[in-house]
This record gives sequence, structure tokens and C-alpha cells, in this order.
Amino acid sequence: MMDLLNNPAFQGGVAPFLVALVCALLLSRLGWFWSGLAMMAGYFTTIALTIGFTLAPLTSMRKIIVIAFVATVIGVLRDALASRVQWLSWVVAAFGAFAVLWVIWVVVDRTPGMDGVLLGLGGVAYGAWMAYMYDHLREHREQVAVAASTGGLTTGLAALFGASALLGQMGIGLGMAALASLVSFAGLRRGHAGAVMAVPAGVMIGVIGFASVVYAKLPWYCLPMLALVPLFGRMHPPQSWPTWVQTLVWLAITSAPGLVAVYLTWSAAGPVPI
Amino acid sequence: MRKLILVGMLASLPVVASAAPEFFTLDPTHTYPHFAISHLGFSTMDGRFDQTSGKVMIDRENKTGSVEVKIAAVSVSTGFQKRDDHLRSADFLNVTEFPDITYKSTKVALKDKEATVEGTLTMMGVSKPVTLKVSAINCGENPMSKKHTCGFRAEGKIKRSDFGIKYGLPAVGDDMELWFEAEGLRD
Repeated sequence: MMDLLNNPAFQGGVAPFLVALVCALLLSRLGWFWSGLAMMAGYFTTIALTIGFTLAPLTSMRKIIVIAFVATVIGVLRDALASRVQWLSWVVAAFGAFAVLWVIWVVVDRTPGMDGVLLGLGGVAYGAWMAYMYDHLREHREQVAVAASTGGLTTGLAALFGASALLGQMGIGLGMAALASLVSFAGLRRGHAGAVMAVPAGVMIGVIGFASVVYAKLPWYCLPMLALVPLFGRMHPPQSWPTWVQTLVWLAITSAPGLVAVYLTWSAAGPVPI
Repeated sequence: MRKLILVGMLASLPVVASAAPEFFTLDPTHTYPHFAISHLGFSTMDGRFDQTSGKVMIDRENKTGSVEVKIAAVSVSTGFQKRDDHLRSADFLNVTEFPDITYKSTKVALKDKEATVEGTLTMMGVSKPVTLKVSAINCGENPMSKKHTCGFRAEGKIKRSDFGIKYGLPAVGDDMELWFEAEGLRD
């Protein structure tokens, strides 16, 4: 049993998928409001099996755990308070920007001159973009699940090739958990995404992607490709098509820029070190 | 009688000089911290850090001293670039966030050519007590540089999980053997 729990593929792939799937099925019975939480339940399973929930000392990796909790709470509040209030999207974007800046701050603070400023601004822009774009998808459950799946998986794969298995597991774990939600949404026609799924998805994918540039060797020019994933998620296949066909088309469309990022990272960094 | 006293004083000078604490700066070109760790239980992986600086004080009269070492985490080297990149990443040493690994002694017990050094190792923002056994303390004039030099070997053990480095456990070993071959040039 311990061998299974210590297996990186189980930690970042099978476990978050199964937990998220079970949670999606259970939570959907409580009403749409809660079903989006399934993705984060799967994600926290990966965290529990990898770095755990110890927060001291508060390293950049542990800040990511704190951000995941806060992003989930913000998502719940956004759904509960006023999901249609437009300016809340800017609050979410501001949190996404803050989250990336907080995680990389120790490096920004140490990097002298314009390089540090550009690094900080880059992080702020990327975090805000990802949080805003995913939040924009929150009303469309299949779209947010598709974009979170491909965004998480491709960001995780790129991080893995960029020499950080831990950040890779975080991204892939999030992607697999979102994939489980997608099975529930598209396959079983159950549940709803909402901000409780869209906000943490955007914030976490943004943080993991930029942290992989700063703390691993993900080439910076992969980020614009990964940033296209939620944008491509807004494209609508014809609604006359069967849901499963629409879902597959969405998966293909959103995967394309992410896979380009994975390929670029692989080209620059080479195979995964084992 | 005066001559006898004078000769006696002169004769005692070298003794007084050698009894005074001696201060050394570590020679980075002859000081390399090494480590060894189990790789999946199949073999033992060796590595080292290529950039180290520090100060050593030896007080032979009081059989004590002090050690301060700073290791550049980014200089980790195992002979394979891709693995070194992985060791530098957040999975292991997270060198971008924690560029330095430091060791500072808290108690040194010196005995002839050996010593026991108790101190604090700080890595990844975590400080833990680590004891080093020092052996082969060899001092003398370097025939090349003509500088007074002391060399020594220090050995110790740590658990990387104590410092929050938990990636790959338990497949990649938790116990790490550490050893330093070092030389210090007298200030």
C-alpha cells in the first residue's frame, strides 16, 4: 500500500482523479453550488501525498498550498455572494496577480534593477490573466473543466520537463482532478463548475506555471502558449453537436497551445530526469 | 643570569605564538563538501558542491575552535547536468529561493589531529543541529604557496526530510552522508 501511495504517478494522476470523481458525484447531489469543489478535493489529495500540509517554514512551495485554500474560499464566496457582478472578476484577477507575486517575491526582491521589475510585472500579468480568463468561463461547466484539465495537465507536463517533478505533480494533479469533474459534467450530466472551480483553477495554473519558470527551468516563452489555453476554451463548437463530441473538440482545441508549450520545454530542457 | 632569562624568553616565543588562536580562511579550490545518497536502493549516488567559503579558528591551548561555512547550493554537481538541474529545483534544494547552505559551529572539542564539531546546519530555511567528526588535521607550510595551511576531513550524517526535502521519499534515500575535504590558509 505504501508503495502505491509513494508512486508519483498515483500521487499526481490516479489519486486526484479518483477522489475528484467520487467528490463530484457526491457533491452534485447537494446542488450545483458545491460540485465545483471536487476539483480542489482532488488537488489537495495530491498535496497530501506529496509535500503535505506543513506550512513552516513558509517556502514558495508551501505558499502555493495557502494560495490554493484561499482561492477556493474566494471561489465559494464569489458563487455565494454575487456571481454575476462584473467587478468581482477584477478582484479575482487581482488575487491571481498577488498570488504569483507572493510566490516569487523572494526572487523578485533579490533580483536587482530592471530585471527584478520585469520579473515581478511578468508574474503579475500572467497571474491576473489566468485568474481572469478562467473566472470568465465559470458559468460554462464543460468549458471550465476542459480548460482546467488541459491547462493543468500541460502546465504540469511542462514543469516536469522543466526539471521540477513536484510542480509537475501539482499541475498534473489539478488537471486530472478537473478531468474527473469533466467526466461528471459531460458524461454523467451532473454538477456545475461555478467560481468555486474556475477561480482556484485559474489561480493555481497561473501560479504553478510562473513558479516553474522561476524555480525550475520552464522557458519563459512557454507561458504565452499556456496563457492561450483558457482563451481557446472560450471557443464554441456548434451546439448542435453531441455533448461528448463538443467536449472532445474543446479538449483538442485547448490542448493545442499547451502541448506546444510542453514541446518547447522538452526541446529546451530534454527528457525528464529519473 | 640576564642572558639566561633572555634566552628563556626567546625560546618561549614560538610556544606562545602557536598557543594563540589561529584563524584560517577556507581555500575554495581545495574545499569541497561531498554527499552520498541512496538511489532507489540500487546504488549510492555521490555528489559535491563546487563553491564553498568559510572561516576556521583553531585554539590549541584551549582545545577548541570555531567553524563557519557557506556553500553555494547552485554549485551542486553530480556529473550529469539534467540531474543537477533537478537537484537545484524546488523538488530538492530550491536554490533560487535558498541560495546558501550554511554551517556554524556551536561547540568544538579539539584533540590532537581530531575534533568533534557540534553546530547548526541551515538548509532550505530550516536549521538543525549536526555533529561533524573531524579527522586528519594536518598543518604546515604549503610548499607551493609558502602559506601556513591546515587541511582536514569532516564527516557527518543528516536526514534530508529534517530540512523539508521530501521529494522522492522513500525511494530516493532519506539518510545522507556528508564529508568535507577542506584546506584553510592562515590569515
